[in-house]
Amino acid sequence: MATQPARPLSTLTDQPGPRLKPAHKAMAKKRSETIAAYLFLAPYLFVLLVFSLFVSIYGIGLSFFRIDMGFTGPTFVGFKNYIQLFSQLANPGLSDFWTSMGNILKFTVFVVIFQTILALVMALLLHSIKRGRGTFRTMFYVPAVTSSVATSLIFLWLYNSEGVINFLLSLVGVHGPDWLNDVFWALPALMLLNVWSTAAMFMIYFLAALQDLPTDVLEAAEVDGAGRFQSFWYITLPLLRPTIFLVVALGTIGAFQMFDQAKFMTNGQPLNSTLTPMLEIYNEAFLNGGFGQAAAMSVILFILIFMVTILQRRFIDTGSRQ
Amino acid sequence: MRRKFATFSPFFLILALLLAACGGASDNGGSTGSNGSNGNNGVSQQGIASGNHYINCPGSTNTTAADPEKDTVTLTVSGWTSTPAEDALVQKNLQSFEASHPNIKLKWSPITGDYPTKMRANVASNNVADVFYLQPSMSSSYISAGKLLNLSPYMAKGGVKAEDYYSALINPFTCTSGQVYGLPKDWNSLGVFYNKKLFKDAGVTAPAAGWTWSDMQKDAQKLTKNAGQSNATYGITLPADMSRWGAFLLANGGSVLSKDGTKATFNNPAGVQALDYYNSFFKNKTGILPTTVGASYSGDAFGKERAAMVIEGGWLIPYLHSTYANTQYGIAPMPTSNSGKQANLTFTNAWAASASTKHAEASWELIKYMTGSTVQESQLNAGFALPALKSLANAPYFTSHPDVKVLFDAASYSYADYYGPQDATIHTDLSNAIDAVVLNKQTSQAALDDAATRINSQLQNG
Repeated sequence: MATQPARPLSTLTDQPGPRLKPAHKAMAKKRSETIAAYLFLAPYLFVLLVFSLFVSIYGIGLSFFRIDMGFTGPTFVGFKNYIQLFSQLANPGLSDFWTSMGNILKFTVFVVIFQTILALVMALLLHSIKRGRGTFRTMFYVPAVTSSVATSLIFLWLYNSEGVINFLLSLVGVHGPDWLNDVFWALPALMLLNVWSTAAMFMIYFLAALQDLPTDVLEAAEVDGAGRFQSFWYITLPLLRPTIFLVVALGTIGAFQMFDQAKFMTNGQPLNSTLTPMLEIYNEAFLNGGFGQAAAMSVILFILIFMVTILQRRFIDTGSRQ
Repeated sequence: MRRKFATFSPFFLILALLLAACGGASDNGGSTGSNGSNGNNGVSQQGIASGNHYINCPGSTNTTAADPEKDTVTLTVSGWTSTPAEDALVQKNLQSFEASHPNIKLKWSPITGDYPTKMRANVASNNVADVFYLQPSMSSSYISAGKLLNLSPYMAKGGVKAEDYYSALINPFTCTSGQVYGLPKDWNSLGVFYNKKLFKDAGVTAPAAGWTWSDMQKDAQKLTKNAGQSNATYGITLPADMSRWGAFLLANGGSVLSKDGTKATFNNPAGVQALDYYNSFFKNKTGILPTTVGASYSGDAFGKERAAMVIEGGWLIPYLHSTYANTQYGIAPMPTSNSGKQANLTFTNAWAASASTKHAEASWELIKYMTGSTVQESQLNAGFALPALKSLANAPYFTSHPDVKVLFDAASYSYADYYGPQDATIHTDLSNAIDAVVLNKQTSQAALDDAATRINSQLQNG
């Protein structure tokens, strides 16, 4: 594999040709195919290199400098930005960054668990109904295609202290909190909104996986006398493992990077209870002009997401690696 | 493995080139003038303000005024627009400038959306308009990095004195030595808006000049009806906002930062007492956060008659006229503290010119005109904002609008709501401290101490 990097790219045109061709001619053909493949990939590779790879490396470099872009030139400070952030761990309650890290951990754990379960349940329901599947799928999918700013604005009204949710609660005699301005409820309110708006997208992943499941195994289980729950627990769920890993990993990455709702709905308030690392990075860079410090925060966040994803791979995706 | 590297090597080469190109570009950021006052190089005292201790002067700046150009020049002019009516007035004033200055053409290109963030991107890419609006929160980085034209030499030459403007208004746009980098275009202060009908119903006399902190508490008590229920009316609605509480802090003899701007001072007894007072309305259930009654901000709660008083600025007037036209309101000055002191905050923006403008003299002419009495009075007459010039204190408009005069008269005892390079952090951390206290999570002392710790570490580390 290592000596033929372009092999997977050329499989499409890799027709079994006449065997008796001279070796160097085959090599030349392979080579021109490789060049063609790269040429076709060039526009995207360029975008990827400039706007992803270059920017990422630039960001890592930035974290070793003190710079206010446009105003003060870069001063190399070594690991000072990191040291400063980690020294704040002595009193994390007074540090915006570590407060935001604590918030996002709570947020991610809740959101990922519930959005995965909700997505799976919706997919199973859709998979088992015979008529009107398309209609329901569209209805369930609407939150995923709605702009997050639009849903944020709608939920701003729903969560209003005299809004619809509290009106419904008052009908059953519950005095609802002022959701987004209550230190305890603000983060859970954003969690619920996030679960609702992202579960639909992951439902499609599960639905596609369910429709792809081999029917023979399930039929064999039925013949062996497995009930519906048993065949779900012992057959369907293990077969869905790669998809579960995908959903959990993508969900975790998305949840860790939550920004829009925190910015538009609460701006990190009340009392920093909805401050997320992305929002704190944004504030540090664009409000305080601390681009180096913000870059250091991004690197720490990246390492955290990276490690969590690897851990998830170990625990969830064990089956599919074999 | 070796072949693999060879295949990818062109991309690494491109990457290296890109890195090199960008590394070179970021060097021209300019340097912060760490040496505070570097003198004013003989510029006449006329153009020098009293000086702002929080903002370092730039390492180098223009110390002379350029001569007028003979050819026709075109200036790009930028700012933001809040309402179509206000934009129309700005354009009208720009047109009358063009009419009186035939060899200067203007290109007005306002920025929509987040003005400071977009301007920052423009500065980083060296693409700044010749003349533009400057917010106080932007001024320290712009001034210290030498991004703005020093207006002092032009003021001295053009007969514009720094003391023509109220000091709380010009101060945010000057540096330690008193060089002026922006002239205030207009401003607003805080006043206590009160609902005349609710006051009459409750049998409370309207607040007037000379009323005190305890008067305010008593009035709020009498005006509160059905506290805690869904149809409640409260005496006052107060946001957890540094830009409101600050007026109480200053009235009580407190201050936000030490004089040189290096240390937080708001957690002293004067500050704690001021926050206890602010919180007393919440404790007595005579005041609420606007969100508690489902309002988007204080002005909204006031318009919905959920609160009889609100502390806002002149911007509330057009809002009430358009959204809650039936509200009968009056405006009272901020109450006097127990120590007998009165204080208020100013909210202002300036006209400034880019240091890299090719037409410095023409830019100055525009700034001089747009901050002069003709334009400032036109803005006052349109009801948009207060004039920053002392000479307009007796404008005819004030006779017919005594309420607006109440807001204007705060100029003499006002302070800029602006605290140097760490302004954003200071506002956020102090607003959080206020929130923690009114939500009953912390005592005033503990919350202010925490905020002081955060702000001090930010002041030290930059």
